[in-house]
Amino acid sequence: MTIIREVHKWIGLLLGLQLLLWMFSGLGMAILPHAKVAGDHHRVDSEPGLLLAEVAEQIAPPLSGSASDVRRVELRLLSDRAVFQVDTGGGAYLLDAASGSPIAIDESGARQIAARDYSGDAGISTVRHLEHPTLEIRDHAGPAWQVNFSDPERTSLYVSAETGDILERRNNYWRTFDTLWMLHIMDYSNRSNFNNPLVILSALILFWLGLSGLVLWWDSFHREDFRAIVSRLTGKKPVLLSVASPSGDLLKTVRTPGHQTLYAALEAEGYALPSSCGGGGSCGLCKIKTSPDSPATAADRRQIPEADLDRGVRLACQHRLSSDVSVTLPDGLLDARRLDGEVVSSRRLTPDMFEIRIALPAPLGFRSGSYIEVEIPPYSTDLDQINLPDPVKSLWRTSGTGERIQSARPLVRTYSLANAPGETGSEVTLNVRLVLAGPEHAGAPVGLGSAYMTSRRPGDTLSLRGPLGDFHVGEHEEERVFIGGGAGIAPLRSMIRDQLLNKGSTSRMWLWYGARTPEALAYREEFEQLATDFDNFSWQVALSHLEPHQEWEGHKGWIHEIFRNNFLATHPDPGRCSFYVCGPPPMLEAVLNLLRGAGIREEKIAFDDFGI
Amino acid sequence: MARAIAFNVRQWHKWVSLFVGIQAMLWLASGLYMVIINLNFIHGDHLVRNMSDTLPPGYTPGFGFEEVMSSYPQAELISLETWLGKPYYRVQTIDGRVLVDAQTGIQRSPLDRTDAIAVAQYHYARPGEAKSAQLLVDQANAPSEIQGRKLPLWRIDFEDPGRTSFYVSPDDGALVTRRHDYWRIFDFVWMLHIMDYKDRADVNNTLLRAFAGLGLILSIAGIWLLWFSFKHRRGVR
Repeated sequence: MTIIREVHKWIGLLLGLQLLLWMFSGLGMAILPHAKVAGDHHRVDSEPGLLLAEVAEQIAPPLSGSASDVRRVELRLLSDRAVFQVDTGGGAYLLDAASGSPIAIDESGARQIAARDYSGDAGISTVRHLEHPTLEIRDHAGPAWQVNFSDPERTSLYVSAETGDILERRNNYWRTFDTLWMLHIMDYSNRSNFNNPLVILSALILFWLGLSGLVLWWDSFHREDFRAIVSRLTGKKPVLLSVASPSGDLLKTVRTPGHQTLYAALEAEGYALPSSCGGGGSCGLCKIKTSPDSPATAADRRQIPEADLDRGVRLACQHRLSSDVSVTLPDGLLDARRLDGEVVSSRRLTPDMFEIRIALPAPLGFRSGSYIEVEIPPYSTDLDQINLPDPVKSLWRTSGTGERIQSARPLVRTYSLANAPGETGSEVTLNVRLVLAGPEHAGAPVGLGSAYMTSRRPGDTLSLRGPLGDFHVGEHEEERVFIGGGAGIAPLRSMIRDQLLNKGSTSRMWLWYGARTPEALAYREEFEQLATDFDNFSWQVALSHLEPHQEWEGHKGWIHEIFRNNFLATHPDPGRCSFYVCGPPPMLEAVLNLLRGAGIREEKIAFDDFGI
Repeated sequence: MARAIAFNVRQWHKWVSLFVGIQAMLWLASGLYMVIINLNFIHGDHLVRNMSDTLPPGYTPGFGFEEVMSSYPQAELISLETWLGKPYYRVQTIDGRVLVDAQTGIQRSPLDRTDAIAVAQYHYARPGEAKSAQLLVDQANAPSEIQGRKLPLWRIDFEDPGRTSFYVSPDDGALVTRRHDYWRIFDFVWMLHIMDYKDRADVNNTLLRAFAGLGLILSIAGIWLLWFSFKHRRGVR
C-alpha cells in the first residue's frame, strides 16, 4: 500500500508540474515573435533574379546513361551560375549546366551563399562542416555547412553541401522556442514527434482531471455568484442582516453590502466563525442556522447531517447575500474570547499523547465537549525537544519530516477541553496527540500543530480563542453512551466528569473506549476509580493491536464491533439512549454507520469529527 | 492571517477560473486530439500513391532544355519531372508556371477537367472514383483549408469516409495538397488551441498571450491552494 500511495503522490506531482510546463511553454511560444523565431528579420528579401537565358549559353545533357532513380532534374541559377540539380532517391547533387561536371559546395561557396541571404550587420564568425544533420536541421538529410554569424542572437544559417540551398535559419529565438516546444510536446530526444506515448498519456489523464475540475468548479459556483455580478454592475444593493444569539435573542439588524458571503458579512460584524479550509466548503466549521427554505449547496449536503439541513443549518462560506436574511449564531460563538494562556504542566498520557495544562487569567465558563482554537506561530523545534519513547521516535524518523521541524506561517489548530467545567479553577486541560502516520504510511509528514504543542514547556505562553463548538450532552436525563478513542477521549472525559461530579446525574452512562494497545489507554486509573465510585457509570475497553506476548483480560478487536456485539445486540431498546462519539476518522465513520444501521435517529447521535 | 489570504485567493481563483477554465479545457481537449491522431494520417499520407515516380534511367528528353529556354525566354527555372508517370517539364517564368511535354514540347497547361481528374485519380490511393471537380478561381472566396494558396486550383472531391478533397494546380499539373475530415478537425482544434479564430495561423495574438498568462498564474495559484488544503487539515483535538 505504501508503494501505491507513493507512486500515486509522485504521479500527481509530475502531472501538476507538466500542466505548469504546458502553460509556461505555451505562454513562452505565444510571446516569442514568430518572425524572429523563423529568422525572417535577418533574411534578404528575394528580388527578381536573372533569367536563365541571360546566363546559360550552352547546356550539356544532364543525365548520363547510367543515371537511375532520378526524380527530378532542375535547371536553375546558383549565385548567378546556371546549374543542374539532380534529385535522386538517395540524395541530390549539382552539375555545371555548361560543362556537365560536378559542383561541390565548399566552405567558401557556403560562406558566399550564407552572406547573400543574411541582411544583418554582423559578420561570419565560424563555419562548420556537418557530415550528418544535427538537432537544429533534423528535418533534412545529407551533409551541410553551418555558417555562424556574430550577432547577439547567434544566427546560424545552414547551407546544404549537396545543393547549396539554405536549409534553415536558426538563432537564439528559435533555440528558446525549440526548447519550449520540446517541453510542450514531451519529445525530449527528437523534439518532433507529438504522437509519443508520454504526451498522449499525460494529455489523457490531465483531460480527465480537467473534466473533474470542471465539475468541482461548477460545484463551487452558485447562482448567487452570477447575481453578485449583476449587483456589482448595477450598484451594490444592500440587504438587511439580522443576527440572533444561539438561544434565539435578536442581537442586531444591520444593512450590509449584498454581494458578499454570509461568512464575510458576519466577520465584518465581529462574529468570526471558525474555519480552517478558507471558504472552500470542505472543513464544515462555519455552520450557522438560517431559514430552512434557503437552498442547500452540494457542500452543505456533504458537511451537514440531513436533520440539521432540515432545521436550516448551512455553511456560511457557501451562501451569498442576495436578499434580507436572518441568521442564528452557533453555540458558544459569543462566549468565545481571546485568551492568554500559560503552560503549567505537560506530561505524557500514552506513548504519543500529552496532557497539557494551561493557566488562564480567570476561570473559563464553558459547556463540556467544547473546544478552543490555538494559534500556532511560526516556529521550529527538534525531535529531541519532545519527550517521546524510542518507538515513537523511530516512527518519527520514518516520516517525511527530518529531526528538525519548522513552520513558516501562522496556523490555527483546535483542541477539545478535557477537564470538566470549573473543576480545575482557572486551568484548562488539553489532550494533544502527536500526529504521526503509522508505519503503513511512512513518509507522511509530522503534524505541525501537534509538534508545536507537544514541545511546549511550563512557563511558555499560548494564544487561545474559545470556547467553541456544538458537541454537548443533552439536558434530558436518559441513558448515555460515550464511544471514542485516541485524542477523542478528551471531550468524552470532560462530559463524563461533568455529568458525574458537577451535575450529579444519576442516568445510566457507558464509556466504550477503543485503543490499539494497553499503553495507548489514557486515564485508565481515573475511569476505573469513577466506575468504582459511581454505580451508574461503567466502561469497556477494546484493544485492536495487541502484541502476541501481551496479556489482556478484556475485549480484543475493533471497538465498533465489540460495541455492536456487547451493547447494541443485547440492549432492549437502544433507540432510547443518546450517543456521543469522538475519535479518529475511520473509527468515527464505522461507529456512525453502525448506529445509523441500527436505526438510531440522528437527533440521538452527537459526534465531533475533528473537522476533517 | 494565512486563512484570510487563502479565503481571498480562493475567491479570486474561482473568478479567474471562470474565464480561463473554459479555455483550459479547450486546450486540453484540442491538445488531446492532436496528440492522439497520428500526424502522418492527418497529413493524408494514406490517401496518396505515386508520389516519388522516377525518370527512365539515363533519360534524354526528346525536347531538350535549350529548346525549352528558347520557347520560354522568360524562364527562371526549368524542372524535368514526371507527370502521370511520363517525363514533363515544369517551367517557372516571371508570368507563372506551365507544364510542357518533354518528348514533344507541347504545352499541356492549363489543365482541363479531364486532366485534373486524371491527376487526382493517378495519385488517389484508395478504390473509388472522383465524385466532382470544380475549378476555383475567386481568391476572395477561396476555402480556408488551402491556407492562402494562390488560385486557380482544381478541387476534386472523393466519396470516402473522410470526404477527401485533392487540390490540383491547372498551371503545372501538380497535386498541391490533400484534405480530409480528420485534417479539417485538426485545423479546427488547432484554431481553438492557438485562439486565432480568423486565419488560424498567428501564434502571437494578444488573446492567446493574455489567456496563456492567466492560465499560468491560475495553475500556480491552484497548486498553491492544493498545498494549502493539504497542510491545513484541522488538528486532532
